[in-house]
Amino acid sequence: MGKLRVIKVGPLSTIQDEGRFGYRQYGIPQSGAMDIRALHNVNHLVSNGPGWPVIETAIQGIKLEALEETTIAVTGAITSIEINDQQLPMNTSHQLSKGDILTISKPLDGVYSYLGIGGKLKANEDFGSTSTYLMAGFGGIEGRALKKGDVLETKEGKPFENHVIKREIETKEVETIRIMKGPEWKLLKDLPERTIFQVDPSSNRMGIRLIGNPLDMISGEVLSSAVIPGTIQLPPNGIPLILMNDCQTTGGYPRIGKVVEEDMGRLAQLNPMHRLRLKVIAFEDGTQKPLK
Amino acid sequence: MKEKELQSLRFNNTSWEIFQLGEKCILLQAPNIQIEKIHESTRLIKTVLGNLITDIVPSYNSIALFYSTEKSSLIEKLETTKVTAEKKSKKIQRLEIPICYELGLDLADVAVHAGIGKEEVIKTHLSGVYRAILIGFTPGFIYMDGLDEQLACPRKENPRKFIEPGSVGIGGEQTGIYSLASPGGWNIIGRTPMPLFDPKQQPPMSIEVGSEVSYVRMSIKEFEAWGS
Repeated sequence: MGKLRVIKVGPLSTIQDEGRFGYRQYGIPQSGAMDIRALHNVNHLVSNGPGWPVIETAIQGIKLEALEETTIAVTGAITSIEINDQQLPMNTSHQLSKGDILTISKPLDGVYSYLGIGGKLKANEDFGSTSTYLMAGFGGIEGRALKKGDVLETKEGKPFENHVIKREIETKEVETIRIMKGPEWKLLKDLPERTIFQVDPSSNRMGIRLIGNPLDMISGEVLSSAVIPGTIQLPPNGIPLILMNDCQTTGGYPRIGKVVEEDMGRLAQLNPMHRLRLKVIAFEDGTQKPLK
Repeated sequence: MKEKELQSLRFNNTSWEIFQLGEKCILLQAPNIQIEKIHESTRLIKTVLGNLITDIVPSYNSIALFYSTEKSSLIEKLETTKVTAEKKSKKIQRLEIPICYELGLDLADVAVHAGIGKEEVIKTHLSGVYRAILIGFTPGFIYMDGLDEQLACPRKENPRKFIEPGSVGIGGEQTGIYSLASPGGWNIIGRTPMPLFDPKQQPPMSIEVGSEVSYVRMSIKEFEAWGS
């Protein structure tokens, strides 16, 4: 059991779980937490099932008041957490008493932070998921972002247990994001890893835009065809666009590759302007050999 | 890049290239295939693979298969399936959809662009048979062909933030139905009260790719009385 009221919140805080699957044939995107590991971790800290709904905050923080005794934890992008003006660590379970004020700052390093609340968070379930998809108003609270006055209530929570998880690995100056080859890989004239890109600040839950020199490619036309989160599209300007959780189900740009599942969360958390390299690896089942 | 390890399979008398789209998703692609064959193959794959696939996304010349099992078992099952006339026999679904043109927010614009009167636009639109080609872009959006070229009309310069479910639109030479509320930039010529998408039903959508649709005109009174 837990109950929190939103006192202050940025425009992009939403309820997310693992996402919705099986509905791409109807044009319905996957959505879900941008950093799946942080979702699983925060749920572990508050003794929940791994994929239960949590609050994902982006760019800005959130301030809440506990309306009853509530277990919470915060993972993901590094933020500063205060309970009644007392600073407390991330990646640790905390118990709030009725009347406590919880303040989670805007991210100091990384993009998406996750607030887990002990118990199952009440939210709209659309197509098997509570994940908020703003464009069509699915999931979450009325399909929208959180706003001041919203009450977040959970049920079936377990008694408080103190958990701590280790802080996640530091990011490198130039992050290597591993990719597998996509259907239109052959349009590339050179290996993408030779170019260092930067994360465009306009990136969001739909896609990560990159800044950098264009990749040399054979121009090719592609009929609109299936795309998925992680698909790396190469528009005519030669600068890759990486589709993320809220991406559409079909697209008309060449698909040179896909970010491996394991690296999606790390990619999502890269700060604006952070440098990265896309490095192709062998696909697990050996259908596409590594180059060298 | 030159190196190319193409894999392919034969299914439904078609040779398909196999690409890996994701860890648990393959794309079957046949460059010069007819859309009818894509729709037929999609229906067959759903029947043959059943629960082995978790999702399926057909488009103009490809079909994406999402799975939770081993890829090899899917491919083997498809390759060893003899597609008989009996299996193919599932009829193309034909639907009549009621449409109220009085709720066509952009009907006048389409008429002006076509250089004809509104009634003539309606008459021409009603005489067509439209086929669902692709579902996607926005949730529940059904792309259709069959639009009389006279009614072609460029997309709106400023897309709307909200389009009512059931809105029938024209975007360039294409037409389509917004089965769910969503933003969109197509010219809305009418609206149907018939629910085309019900998340509580299985399958949730009453139209599938390949379905043929004709429209039946209804008045605004009939629109409002629908379902009551």
